[in-house]
Amino acid sequence: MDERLSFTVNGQGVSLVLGKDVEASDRLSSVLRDRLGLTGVRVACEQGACGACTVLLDGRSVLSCMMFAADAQGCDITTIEAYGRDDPVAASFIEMAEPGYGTAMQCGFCTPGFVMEAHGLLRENPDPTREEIRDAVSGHICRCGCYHGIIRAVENAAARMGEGGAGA
Amino acid sequence: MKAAAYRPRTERKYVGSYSPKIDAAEKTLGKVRFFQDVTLNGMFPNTVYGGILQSPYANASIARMDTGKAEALPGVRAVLRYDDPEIRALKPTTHSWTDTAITPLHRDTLPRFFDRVFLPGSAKWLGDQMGVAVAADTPELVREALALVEIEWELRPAFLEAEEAVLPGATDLHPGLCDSKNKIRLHGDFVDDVSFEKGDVDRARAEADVAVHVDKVYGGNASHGTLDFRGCLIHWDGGRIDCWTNQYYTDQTRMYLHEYLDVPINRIRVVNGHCGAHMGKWNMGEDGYYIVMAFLSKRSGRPVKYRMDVHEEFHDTRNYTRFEMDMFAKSDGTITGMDIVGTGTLGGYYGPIEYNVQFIVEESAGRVLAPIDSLRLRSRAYFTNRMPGGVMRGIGNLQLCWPVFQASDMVAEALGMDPVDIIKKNFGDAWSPRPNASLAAVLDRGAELIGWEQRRSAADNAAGGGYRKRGLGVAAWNQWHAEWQENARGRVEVAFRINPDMSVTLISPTCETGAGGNSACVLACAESLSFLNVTPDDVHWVPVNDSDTGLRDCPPTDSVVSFLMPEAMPECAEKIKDEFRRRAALMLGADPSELDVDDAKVFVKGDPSRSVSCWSVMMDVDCVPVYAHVTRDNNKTVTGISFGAWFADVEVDVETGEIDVRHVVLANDVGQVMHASGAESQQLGAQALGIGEALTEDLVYDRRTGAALNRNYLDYKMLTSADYPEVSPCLLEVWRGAGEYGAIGLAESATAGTTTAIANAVYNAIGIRFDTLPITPKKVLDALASRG
Ligand code: FES
Ligand code: FES
Repeated sequence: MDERLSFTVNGQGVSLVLGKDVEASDRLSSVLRDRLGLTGVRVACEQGACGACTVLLDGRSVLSCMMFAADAQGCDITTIEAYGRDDPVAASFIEMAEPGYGTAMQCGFCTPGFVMEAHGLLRENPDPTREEIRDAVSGHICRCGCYHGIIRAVENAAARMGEGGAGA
Repeated sequence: MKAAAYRPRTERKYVGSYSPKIDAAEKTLGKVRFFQDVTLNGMFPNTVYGGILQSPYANASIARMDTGKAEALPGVRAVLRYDDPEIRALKPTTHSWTDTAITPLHRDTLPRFFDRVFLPGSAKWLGDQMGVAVAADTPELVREALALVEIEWELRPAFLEAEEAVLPGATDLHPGLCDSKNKIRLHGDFVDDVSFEKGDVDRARAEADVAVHVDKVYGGNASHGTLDFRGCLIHWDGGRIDCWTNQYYTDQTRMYLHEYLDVPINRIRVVNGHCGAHMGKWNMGEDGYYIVMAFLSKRSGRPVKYRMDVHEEFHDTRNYTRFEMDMFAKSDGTITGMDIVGTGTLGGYYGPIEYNVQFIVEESAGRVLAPIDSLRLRSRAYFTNRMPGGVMRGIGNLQLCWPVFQASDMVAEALGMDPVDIIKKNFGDAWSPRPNASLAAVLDRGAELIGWEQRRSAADNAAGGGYRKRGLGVAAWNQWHAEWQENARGRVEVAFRINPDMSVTLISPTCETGAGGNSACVLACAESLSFLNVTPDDVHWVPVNDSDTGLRDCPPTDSVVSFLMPEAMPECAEKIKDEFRRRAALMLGADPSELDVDDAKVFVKGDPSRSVSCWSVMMDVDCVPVYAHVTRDNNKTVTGISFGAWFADVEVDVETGEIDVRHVVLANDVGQVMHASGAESQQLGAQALGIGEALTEDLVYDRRTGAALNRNYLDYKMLTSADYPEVSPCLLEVWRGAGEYGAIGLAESATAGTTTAIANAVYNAIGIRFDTLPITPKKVLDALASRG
């Protein structure tokens, strides 16, 4: 029987034939993008430096460009495509327009990665301090430099989730 | 993070508002489609991948090349060699064909040097794309094929500095462009390199009460660092070419392909859309790969996709510029003259260095240095084997601000005056009364926010105890561009389509790079269509430029899209109104001239009871949208320009050499804020770049081989949230330009003074001036040690 790589992505089961649909050496990022069409997973450096390709693996943030897809066997993967405008983290990024903070994105290339990182953080620490947020997203590059807006958006997301009692 | 909402001069419905970006949801949720997403595997059946050899040597030629093994590799579809007759028959190109806001070859904002060839047989820097190109079924096969190419090299020693470029042993890199070894022939008839002179500098020198000298280098070691790497997918099939790209010029890319491939313009389709944070890249001569990929497509009969990797993306740096400068002043604080030598260190190819060492000073003589009576500039530039320099956000302005406002800081100190007062007294533009009101306003506002009144002298700070020394610094610069400075851009096109459900499609084509011109366009569109009760939510901005069907694009350069396109919209809205009048005239039995439009109704002037809704004008007749299109030339009224001020508050640890930027304040007078949240975002983001260049961003070269060692995102240190300090953006509307809005550029300008304000603050803290960037802990410790 064919050897298969199986995992769930955004709640749906995926089963790929190794050596046919997917190679053992394929990066998780390219399988998500090229094979499954989840292009919200952004890929830039492919060296673990920028954070653009961040997804959640069993609820924890990982760099999908630094992982073999084969290592996600049996895991539960979440990408930005799992969320809509009503997601409290996404909504906080979208709506950011407070005077003094600018916006939470400019070109938007890095943004899905930051949103996924924020989800990972808020699952573990629903009420982070500004310092904790700064630390949590410090592995991500936003070349547009929207760090004020991003950090503020994560603060707002935590507040929203606290009010609504909604989990990540 | 001090929030200070700006106060608008003119109350408007939407323009100038604090509001989310128009595409914030698509961007946040990953739905915006970048180049990589529209060219995904499988979307273009049969696509193959393209790659070009990057020279492993900084100064070398190919003596012999054997591509046999690469050609024999299964999966390789085409191999293109430097000695290919079709490639060699191409006419030469320039440092960047697609390099300005305009398209025709005979008009240009900067001179061009047609000294580059496609796929050359020699390399002028380590990383130069040259020699051989390959198309193959996978990116891995492309790499493998390139590695199989056997090359016998002729190696020459690499040289990286202007001083070495003129030595007898140095290779003459561009003999056709130079009068003497590697010294480029700049445009103009100069004696003793004097390219600009005003007043009497020698007299200013002789009569000065105070003279200061600086010798400052900026550039050569910082690069764009974008996440959305450059690329294209090209299909040259028979008589037509289709090209998808994230190049931010649609029209110019089409003109470029036309120019070199001799295909009629209407058979070339270029499609682009979003481009992640370009920071000014795309102006550097890398555009040769479009032509190479086109030939690979023609030879293989396949669409060919090319995308730079993280190393290739380090293709160009901020222009390496050195200014040696004497500044003269009288004891009352009047700066009377400046004697300047600008030396450019080019890389292997021409980058627009004249802007840095020549034009910026001439321009600034009217812009920020206008009150200084005597100026003299000597300009020179030399080719080396460095990575080429080029356009990067803030080109030229950052490099000139760096010496000028450190020198003015020294003058202030020598005279025991406040640096802010020296700036107010001596700087301003040529068109506004003095002292300049815009400059005074940004300085006063910035000084208030940073707490300037607490600033102590460098001597007092040095005498204070403790190992952490605190300092405050300031810099200023003009904003750019105002509308009248965009005369070379050519006309700007916009179109509105009012759909039968009263939703609006806005066609204002520009590549969205994050600069946010699209948000400003949507706000201005809704503002100008308020007679139809249109809100920004009703407006859909078309995010894709398609040269087959779209209008000519307005490239997002000089930070002007956010107001140049909106300035065309009142006229477009009037045309929409006219069309509603014309169509409703039949329904109302009146002459169009008797009708007016408001509240989304067409009514008879003087008898508003005779009216028909705009919706029914379309729905009841034929559902044909109401469409209007405007081609607008810019308003050339000379209105002068406005200013910005930067303040930095730093703490220097004299034991570790670390500089902690505690707070940066920047105040920019933009004439009219087009989108407040977007504008503040630009102010904030520009500081990430500026602080990065001040403290960490540094391409490190191996002097022996000429290799830039850290051409990747792990080792080239860009700022992250961990290093980004408190920054207070402050917007003002003091100056005013021409037109409905009268705005001026911000996104580039916001970068101009950051590094200089930080360097002045570092001096204020520890009494040491640094001449090069970044100011690393090692440089601080070395300087402290040598001071003893
Ligand atoms: S693409 Fe994965 S970290 Fe940059
Ligand atoms: S928004 Fe452009 S890189 Fe972050």
